[in-house]
Amino acid sequence: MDFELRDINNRSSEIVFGMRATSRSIKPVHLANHLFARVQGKKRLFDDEALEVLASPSKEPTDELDPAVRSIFDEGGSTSDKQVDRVRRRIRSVLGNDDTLYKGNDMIAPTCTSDYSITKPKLSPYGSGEILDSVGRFLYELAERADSDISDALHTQLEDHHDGVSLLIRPLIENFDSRVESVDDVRWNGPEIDSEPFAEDKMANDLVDGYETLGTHLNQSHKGKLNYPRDLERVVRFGCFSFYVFLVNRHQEINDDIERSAPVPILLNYLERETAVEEASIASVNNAHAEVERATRIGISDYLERSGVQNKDKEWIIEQLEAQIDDPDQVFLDVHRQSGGDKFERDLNTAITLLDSSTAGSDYEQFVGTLNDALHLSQFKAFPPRNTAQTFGWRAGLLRPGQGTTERWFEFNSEILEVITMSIVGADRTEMSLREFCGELRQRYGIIVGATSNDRSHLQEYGIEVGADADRSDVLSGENATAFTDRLVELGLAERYADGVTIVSPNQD
Amino acid sequence: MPKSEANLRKSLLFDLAQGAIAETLTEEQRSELHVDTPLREDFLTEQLQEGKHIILTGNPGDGKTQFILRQQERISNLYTETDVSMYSDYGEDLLPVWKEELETNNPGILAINEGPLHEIISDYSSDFPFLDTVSDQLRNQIVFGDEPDIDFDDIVVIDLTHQNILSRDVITGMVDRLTRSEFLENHGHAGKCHIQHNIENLRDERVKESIVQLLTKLATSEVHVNIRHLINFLAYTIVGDTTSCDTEFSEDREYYNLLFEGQGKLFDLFREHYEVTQLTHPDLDYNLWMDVEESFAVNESATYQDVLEKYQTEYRRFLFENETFEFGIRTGEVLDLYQQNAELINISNGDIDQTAALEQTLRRINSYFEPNTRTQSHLRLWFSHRYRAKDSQALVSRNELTKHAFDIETPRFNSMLQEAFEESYASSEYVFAYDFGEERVQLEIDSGLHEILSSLDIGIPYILRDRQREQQLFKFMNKIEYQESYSETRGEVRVKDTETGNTTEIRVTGDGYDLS
Repeated sequence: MDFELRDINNRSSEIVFGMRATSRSIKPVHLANHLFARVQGKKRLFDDEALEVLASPSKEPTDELDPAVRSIFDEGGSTSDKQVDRVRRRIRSVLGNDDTLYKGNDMIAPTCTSDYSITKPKLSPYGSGEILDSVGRFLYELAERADSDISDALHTQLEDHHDGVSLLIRPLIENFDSRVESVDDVRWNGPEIDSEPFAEDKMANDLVDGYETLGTHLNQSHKGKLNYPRDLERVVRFGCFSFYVFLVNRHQEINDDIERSAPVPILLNYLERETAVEEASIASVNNAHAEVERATRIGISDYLERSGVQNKDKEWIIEQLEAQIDDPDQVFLDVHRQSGGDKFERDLNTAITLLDSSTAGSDYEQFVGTLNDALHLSQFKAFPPRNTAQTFGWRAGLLRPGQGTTERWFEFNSEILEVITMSIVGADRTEMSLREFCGELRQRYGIIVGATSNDRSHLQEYGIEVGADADRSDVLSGENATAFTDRLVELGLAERYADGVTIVSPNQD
Repeated sequence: MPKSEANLRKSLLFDLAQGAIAETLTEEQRSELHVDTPLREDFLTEQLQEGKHIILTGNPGDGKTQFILRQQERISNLYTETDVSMYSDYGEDLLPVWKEELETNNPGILAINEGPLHEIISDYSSDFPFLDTVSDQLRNQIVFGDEPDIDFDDIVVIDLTHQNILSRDVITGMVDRLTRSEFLENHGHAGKCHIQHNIENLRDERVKESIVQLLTKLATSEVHVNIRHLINFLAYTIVGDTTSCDTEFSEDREYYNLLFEGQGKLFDLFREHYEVTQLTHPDLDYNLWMDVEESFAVNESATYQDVLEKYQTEYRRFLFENETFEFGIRTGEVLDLYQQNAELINISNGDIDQTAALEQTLRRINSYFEPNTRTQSHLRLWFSHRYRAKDSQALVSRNELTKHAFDIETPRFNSMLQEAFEESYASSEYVFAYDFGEERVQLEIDSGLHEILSSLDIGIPYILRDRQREQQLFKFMNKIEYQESYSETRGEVRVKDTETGNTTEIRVTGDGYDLS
């Protein structure tokens, strides 16, 4: 009997989330690539030659490029290396819009406005490829379940190559598009621990509805062409939100011991200065990520149960760990350190200390807790779903970092706010009152801004209190709700009228 | 006591200066203070006589109640609703009755503030289909280009927020009402109080003309001003914040200082545009400052603050009494020199040639992305594409479209409102439109966007751009790209580095790059 920490991380995530939410480098554009590959049933894989072109000229000098590669820049006659350098840098700056070109990344998935995106074929078992595959399936499942033409609209757009970005990388496609692989196995299998992830009272069901409503805003093909990459952005941005909010709500959906009526609260803070709302929003971020960790723990427990360790007592486990320190070949817990080194010993000793100091629950529960703690300690270099939620939430524009602090609060950027509004108010409905809109935000997604009478009780259900500010009364339903409304109005998503009435109406551009 | 004297006591001025509303005035007081606003009462009468329902909407203070009360006197059996906020459930209380009145062709007039009206439409249009007509008219009060097919058969919706209260006729009418002789009489004190002093000044034609000039310039400011704001503004200018006569008043109670001191939307607007720190004219500033400094020359105890305050007061007085100054400068000249967004206002109100307006707009948008270009024959299309939350590092452009594909549309009232109002729609925005036959793609250019488009012209670097506003441009351009078909294999792509602002041209020839 032996356990691999990295395997525990991945398997526990699959068990509770139905996907490997275990990557530090996952970015919105990766989600885009994997979702789009499923929509189209194919993906393009590039050889190293194309990637040489996209590399920084300082790392891959132009004069060292393969002559065949170099020649694509000589269409109009002989060109200097300096000219080629400049063009390569400009192409990189376009692809750099999504910040995916740094060294060591398994995937190169540049800004894509069509299926002219570039994917590196190198996929390691624990690399981002497999992780993203499972996340891509999840998003595709949401879009497919939605009763809308969303997949058709995406497909048509992805086949269109008229825009500037597609044209810019066209020569790379023409010359180095060496393999187009089919992507046949596209559906999401769901979490192993939950046979009904789309039940009516679950978040995934609301996300499907959200995609359905968002689908009404997507453009239809015009004269057989679409060329409207903004729709791709919208679908992916809602996918980013979906991925995050699904992770956050898993625990309360799969834990039979708790009975909660409302989604995990996401308290948006739109105030610029420090207030009780900011503090409570930070608390809601911490709570949301703690919920992800709690779900992971359930996954670890389930995984260990399958491994038959539940009948072992604490002493036996400690003995195994100690034996491994003495003889690295007697693997009990693989921590991915070089056997016998200082760090190897330190990691195992940390595990022993964690377990030894645990007192709550049975020996088995203490062992589950120990592994869960280990996954969440930076020392072990695991990247559990909690960390994924943290970093991805920031990259996707859901979280905003405070000044000079590691704390973050919920503040959706304008693009996210736009798609969430579009996921609630369909193109077929021109108007919705702010009161109704905020009610929908809260009930569907747990998003709270202070505009409904149930906001505080919803937060209290998860132990979050909005304190009082010394110089202001009720900053949550006062200033914060107003600031949120102001943001909607600025974005053209709402209009404010006299008598305190605001009408939400997504821009029908 | 004579009738007019009873109605127009000075206490009424006090009430109006504090923001009294129509409902609190007696019928006679309303009548005495009535000024014809741009909404034609005979139009309302005609529509009601045809059995239609008129919905007057807008903000509090737009004069809805005033209109209804006047119509009620003229038409019997009129179905009226002056205050829908009294209903706790629109679906149970208001709408069934309204529907029945409509079905029996009984004329009706309803005053519903914009907010509640939108709520009613949002919540009940599926149960009461006539609300779709209301919604349709509400969305099309102002039209650009061809007017859509609007149903005016049974219902006419008039949004009073679109009427221009700051017109010469309304302002002079209201100044005349509030400076009537009756307000000067029966004050019951010896000497002249600040109210009498200010009324006499406002009756002076030169002062009145300055007030008209200054207020009418604010009509295109995008801030909605209603009749209540105007009455409150003028009454406060006479009375100030007191409720008694002051016969030993200081300069603080002079009308030209009170104009800058009150609280409210019109006061804010007035300060924002005309306070000494906002309005500048080099000759005026120089002469005025020299005069004020000279007046303090013999006063050794005067501080710099004293000089500044005196300068501010003299500047305010100048705006209305410039003929008493010997600078040879008039208020109108100061305003002409000052007026911001003149280009926008001129285009918006159709005051300049369409072709010139179109070319100016093209040049502004082009130079926003490429500051050194003066191109006004084409529009270059840019777009920014990214999935992450951070700003783009690069913008991409692959095409430009000839100016013939575009036109300028200025806003106007829909055909019904054009009849309802005495004046044309006063605007400070226009639409830059791309026409592709079946549909149009529009970019609304208001003062905010116009300012952004002009900012690079005055040397503000691109990196300091307003990203929110920029999105409007990208949405417009992206939509145009969506309507056009280009070669998938060949073309020129321009890439703009958002940090340095540098642009690089790259020609794509299908399977390679032509850098020659």
